[in-house]
Amino acid sequence: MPTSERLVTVGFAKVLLVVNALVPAALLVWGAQAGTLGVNPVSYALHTTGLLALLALISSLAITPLRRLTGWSRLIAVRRALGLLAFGYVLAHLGIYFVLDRELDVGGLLAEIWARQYLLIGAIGVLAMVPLAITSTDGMVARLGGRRWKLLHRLAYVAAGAGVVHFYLLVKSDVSRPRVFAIVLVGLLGYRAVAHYVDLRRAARRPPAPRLAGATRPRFWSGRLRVAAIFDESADVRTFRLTAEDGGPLPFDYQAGQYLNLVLIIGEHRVRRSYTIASSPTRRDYCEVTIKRKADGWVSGHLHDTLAVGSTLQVAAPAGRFVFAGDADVPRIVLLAGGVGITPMMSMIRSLTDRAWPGHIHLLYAVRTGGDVVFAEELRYLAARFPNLHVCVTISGDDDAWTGDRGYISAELLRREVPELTSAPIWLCGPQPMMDAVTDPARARGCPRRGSTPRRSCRRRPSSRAPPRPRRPRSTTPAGSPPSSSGAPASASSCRWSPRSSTAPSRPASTCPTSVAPASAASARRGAVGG
Amino acid sequence: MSRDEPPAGEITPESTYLNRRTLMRAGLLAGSVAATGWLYRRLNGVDLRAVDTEALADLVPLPADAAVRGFATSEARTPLLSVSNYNNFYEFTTDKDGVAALAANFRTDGWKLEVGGLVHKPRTFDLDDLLRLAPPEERVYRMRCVEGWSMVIPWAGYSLSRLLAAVEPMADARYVAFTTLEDPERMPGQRGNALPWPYVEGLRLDEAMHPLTLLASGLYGRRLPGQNGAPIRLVIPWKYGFKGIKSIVKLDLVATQPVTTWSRYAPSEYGFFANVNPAVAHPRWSQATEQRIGESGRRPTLPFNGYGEQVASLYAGMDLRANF
Repeated sequence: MPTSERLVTVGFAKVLLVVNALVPAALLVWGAQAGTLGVNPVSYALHTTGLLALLALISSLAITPLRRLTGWSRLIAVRRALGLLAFGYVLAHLGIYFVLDRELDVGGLLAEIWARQYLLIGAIGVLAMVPLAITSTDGMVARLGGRRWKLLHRLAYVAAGAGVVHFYLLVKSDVSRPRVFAIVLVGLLGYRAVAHYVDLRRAARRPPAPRLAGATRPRFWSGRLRVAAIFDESADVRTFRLTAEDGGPLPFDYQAGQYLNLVLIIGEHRVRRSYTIASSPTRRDYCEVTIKRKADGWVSGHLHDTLAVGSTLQVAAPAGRFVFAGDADVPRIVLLAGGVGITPMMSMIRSLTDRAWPGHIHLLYAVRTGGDVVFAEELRYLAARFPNLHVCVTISGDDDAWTGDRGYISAELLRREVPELTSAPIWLCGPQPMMDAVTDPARARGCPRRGSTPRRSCRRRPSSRAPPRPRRPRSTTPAGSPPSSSGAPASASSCRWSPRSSTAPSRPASTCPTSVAPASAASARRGAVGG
Repeated sequence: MSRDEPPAGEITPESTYLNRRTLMRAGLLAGSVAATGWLYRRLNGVDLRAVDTEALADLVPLPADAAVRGFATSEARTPLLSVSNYNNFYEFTTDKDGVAALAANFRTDGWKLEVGGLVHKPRTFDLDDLLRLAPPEERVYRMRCVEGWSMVIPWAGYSLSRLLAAVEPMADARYVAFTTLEDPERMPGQRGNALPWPYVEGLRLDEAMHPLTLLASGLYGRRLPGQNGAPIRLVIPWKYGFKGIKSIVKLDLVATQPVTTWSRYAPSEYGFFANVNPAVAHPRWSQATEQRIGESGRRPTLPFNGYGEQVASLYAGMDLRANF
């Protein structure tokens, strides 16, 4: 199997960032030992730690806008590190002030903070960062739920604002540096406000998602669900049907393509995983998650091995913006799935056919062998009953019995299968190499990378199964690497492309989707989907 | 395995491949750390510069009654390296650690001091004339910055009263206004607008005539380096440091209170008198304590910076809160 792991992976990028961000701290400690911090070392250390804290905090706030603007969704991986670095430098800043300036006088410190505006505002900034640091773990995200977590983490803006004002108030006359911070911060806030407004406008143009009459339940729910049934889809893929613990309708509403979070206690570990809901939101009394057992995935293994009918699970749901609600004005959608990335597509297909959505649904589904096609029978049945559903399965591995398409999802295949490709929004979910394989030809064909569209979501899905091979492998493959499941997990993600609006200037004559807009989502920082 | 993979012989063994990647990552990490360290030193490093100005030959040592008159203190002197590498001189930069480097090549040849206004003998002094007016005396003063830090500095110079006596102020002269050189070529900070240029300071005539008010031309037995206000500056030990105007080119004796730079820039924060007063806080920070450079923690600030015995009488009956 091709291991296309790059030299700078997300994990290594984080190491690079954290190590480099700690270089000033190391030089500060070293300088303090060697007495080379200048004439006023305390003031130098205070100033430096304060600046670094503000720099890290504002950088962390810039991540989401940068992701939206550049489409570089993996940036999210460093946001938590930046936030925690900021908190670390803030604590150092406060610690130096308390120990070296106030000489451990707690009363004096509090009195001074109360008396001085700049200290009071600085203290508010520090206090605002405490809950952010405490809730930075995956466990806390699961406990709070995505919406509440996001709401709470708006406090980062309060902290950054307080930091800038604190800095501004301290300066005697040359406010150029605090002003730069202030301008950047206002820019970031402005961007978020505008993006929010644009999202609202787009949301308003879509018909509302179908809801139960009189449904007033909160959009986000957490609690326990019961395993009502278990089905084997293939050798290593199993579906778990979940119902409300005491029967009746599910306690939450969701849209096709959203996922739920499971919080599990495995031994002494508390782990959290996200799994896409594969069933249709039109089924009110249950939802289903379809989970592939990973060779080295102890969580998926644990679920496969220990869950039985009647077990209950701690669930938080729903989350994710990788959705399609069946907009009436969309004539055609394209769903590109790789391996177990079929699950959100399945939810969409099931709900769209349930509701007899009139548009065309093109599913291009890449797997290794014919035996890996999850939901094969159901797809065949649905395609027979709903002529607007077009399914094309292509396999990349060896399978002598296979009579259908072979190879990876290519531009050629897309062109063949999907008429009017340029006007169709595309949902893409699969292992990273597949994402690259599909995005690269699109870009190579002159499709501009466009600004973002709001309804995109990106999740990482460690998958042990060999992904469709990238068109252009990024690194050489070691000889004799194991064929499939015991290999290194290839990271995976999903995204949606939308065609440019019709008012946009001339579009290059190509058959590829235009705005390549991988993914921004609240969920992405919160760890793996599946596993 | 798909068809387009390279033949087995050309494939790098996995262990070699992984080793190479580990090495490249280590290299990348080390390289980026070195670059970050270099950048940090570039942007935020501090280098102390030694003072190499000419030694003063005819320095008059401290008199026996120096302590009583406030001319000297027994407190530990702040090292020259600290005095000359950490101070405010916005004409160069607003960064206290950065003044010394920017002022290193400050030229003072051809310096003139114009003394005029309400005087009987207005006169423009060459630097040599000015220095010959009286021999430089050593004065060890506490210096309290309005920002909350302090030093003990051995200056050299003579009382301003000597210069004023030479020009003979008229009877209606009540204040002295001082002006710093304005020359953005030589003073790069003046290219920005951190303050309205040129820098102007002022004293009441009785303050200017007080023996503690020093027209300083030296520091630690040497000529003043550029960063400390070469070639001549004012030192008024009982007032906040910003009153000690540097690199003076003009003295004007006037009848009304001059508008000084800081009180014009932020009238609610900096008054005309600016006497050191622990009881009157700066609107944004406390003045009750100070950080003595070289010491840890803070020490209490004294009224009139400890020179109350010598100068408090100048302000008898005055509300020092209103006249801050």
